[in-house]
Amino acid sequence: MSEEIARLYDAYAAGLYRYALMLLGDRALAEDAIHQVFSRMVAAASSRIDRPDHYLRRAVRNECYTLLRRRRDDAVDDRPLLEPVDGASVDHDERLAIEAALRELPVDQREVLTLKVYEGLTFREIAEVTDAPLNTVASRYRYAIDKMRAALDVRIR
Amino acid sequence: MEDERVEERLRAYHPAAPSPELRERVVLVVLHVRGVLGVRGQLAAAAALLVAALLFHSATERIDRRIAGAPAAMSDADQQALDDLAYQLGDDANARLMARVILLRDRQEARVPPAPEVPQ
Repeated sequence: MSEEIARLYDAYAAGLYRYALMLLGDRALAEDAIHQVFSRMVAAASSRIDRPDHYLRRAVRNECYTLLRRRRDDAVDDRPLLEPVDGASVDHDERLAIEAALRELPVDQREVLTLKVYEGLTFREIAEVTDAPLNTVASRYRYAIDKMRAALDVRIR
Repeated sequence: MEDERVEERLRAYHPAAPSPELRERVVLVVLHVRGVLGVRGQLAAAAALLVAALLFHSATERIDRRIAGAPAAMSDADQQALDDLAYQLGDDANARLMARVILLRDRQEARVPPAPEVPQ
């Protein structure tokens, strides 16, 4: 069992953690979410789960929304959400501006933006993951990208 | 700024990776849960044995009660039938017990009509 979980962890945990981090905006909470989900997966006997990637993403999403409902506002982890991609030019102020704008987004908009930009999902796939109509997903993306554009435009001026 | 350009700026960064310790925590949980499930399995086996023992006790107690109540309802003819059957089964304590159970069961299932009373 431990080999199977280790394999699933190595295959999916990094992406799931990044998804959780973007939903929660907090590294410690994101780690707790991943920890919880894998613990429950062990108890549920992972070999009986047909599509572990779908199961894990949905489980992480549910766990994150549960944690968001319980979170105390004074307990936010202020470690950075974003890291520069290897080889990309590093602009510390730009990173801070993007991160501040991301934190300002409502969680449903941040979720769509994350799945689209960082996970490379299509709107249709995002609609399935989030249980939201396609139009709603497109609207959330539109609002999110406009706010990010505004934040970056301010930086350029 | 076009949407693609905004996405491009966002993709210059990516969400932070999990710490290496998270993997250790998850694997530790696997070992812990496996241990708990092992104990649970042993507890389940013990519980099953206990239930089986209780059911067996209850069943034998019902038979004992029925057997204990049987002599009072027995006529002389039934007593004779019991003696005969016990003799055929070996004529020891176990044979008498088995004979009582068989006769009682037969009476209840009405396979064997009560033996006719012998006029005194």
